[in-house]
Amino acid sequence: MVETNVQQFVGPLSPVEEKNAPLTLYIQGDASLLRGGVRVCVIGTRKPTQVGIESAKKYAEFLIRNKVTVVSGLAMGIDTIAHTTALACGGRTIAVLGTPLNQTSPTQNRSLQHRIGEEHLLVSQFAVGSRVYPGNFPLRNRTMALLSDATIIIEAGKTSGTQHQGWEALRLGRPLFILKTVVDAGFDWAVKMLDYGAIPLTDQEELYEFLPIHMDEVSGEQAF
Amino acid sequence: MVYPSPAKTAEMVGFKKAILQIKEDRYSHKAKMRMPAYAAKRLAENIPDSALNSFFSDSILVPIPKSGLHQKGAHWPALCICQELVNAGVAHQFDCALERVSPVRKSAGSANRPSPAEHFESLQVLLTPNTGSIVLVDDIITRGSTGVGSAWRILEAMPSTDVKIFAIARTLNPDDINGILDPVVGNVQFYGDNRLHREP
Repeated sequence: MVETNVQQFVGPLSPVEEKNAPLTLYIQGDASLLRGGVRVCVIGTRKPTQVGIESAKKYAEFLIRNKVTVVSGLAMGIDTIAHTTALACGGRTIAVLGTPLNQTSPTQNRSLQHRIGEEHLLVSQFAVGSRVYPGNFPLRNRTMALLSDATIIIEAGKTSGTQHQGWEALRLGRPLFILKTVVDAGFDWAVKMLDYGAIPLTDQEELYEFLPIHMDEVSGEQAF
Repeated sequence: MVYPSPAKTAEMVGFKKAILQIKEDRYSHKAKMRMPAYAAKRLAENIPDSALNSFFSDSILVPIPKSGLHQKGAHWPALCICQELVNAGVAHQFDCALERVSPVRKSAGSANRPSPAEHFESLQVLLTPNTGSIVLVDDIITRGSTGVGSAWRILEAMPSTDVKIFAIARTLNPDDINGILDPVVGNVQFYGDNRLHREP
């Protein structure tokens, strides 16, 4: 485990970025995943429908095919599917925890957390030994938004915790995609987020317009 | 600068990433500064020899509002660019003269893009800068619809003002791209309804 901070990876923060940034990050695994490439967060409900499960797999697979690192929060449901799909496809994944690195929530994901820490990257803003409060998880969501180039909400209910991350992504000016199926469900929060700039997503190919990726991308020197 | 839509090669992915770093006010380890500041610095260095010579002279910058509503304290790309253009000495002053009072839809793909009229209806003038020349500032220009709607709103309040539009980048077909830096001065022609032509 290494004690560090966000600035070590993304450089000095702007005032907007700094507002909700954690003072300290504790990381375990391959820190290079925070330094380069494109990181997209895939999040959603802990109790997905079959449609949500299929969507999470589809988008995670698409991102991995495009060499994007899949970020998620190691929660049950959509988060777990995002991580496991990334692993199954041979891609890279980052789990941003609402617990210290030596704890797991939910406990069912202990072996998944262990594997990500060994082969990919675990990130937490909570020191080992600190108590886990319900309020940790919205803070974790804000940190996920900061560490990601974009966020995709796959499926979420009326009172979903993913809203914390959605609003933070919008505040940071990073693309926030909400699957059209969620928008069509008519949740007030989703409609409001569209008013504030969220993008309804009907097809994975639409991501090409907003992200610095391309299917045919080969390794090469980038401009900046 | 140019914004490849879509990016077809690794080089174009790099171009797109650079523009997004400007748009999102991200730090660049290569440039060793935040990207809007870097872009403004490079612009200031190159203006004397470029097509933009005299484009900004004696004008007040006005950031174009985002298509969505603005959360207090949230990042506003055009405002950030205005601040850096002033810091770099490209312009002397900016005023937040326009506000988005109702959101315009944002969607992927070229279909159903908002018309200039929709932008016009969704904007209001907060103040009228004391100037004869305004440069509306945006991050990326695609067809020019946002800029035209914004210009109409400014001209309604300040009919005798000269209004121009500046964007850090313009979208371009990948086949027409030779490099990321390609400063141009051109026109956006409005033909009624939602028909626009940007040249170049």
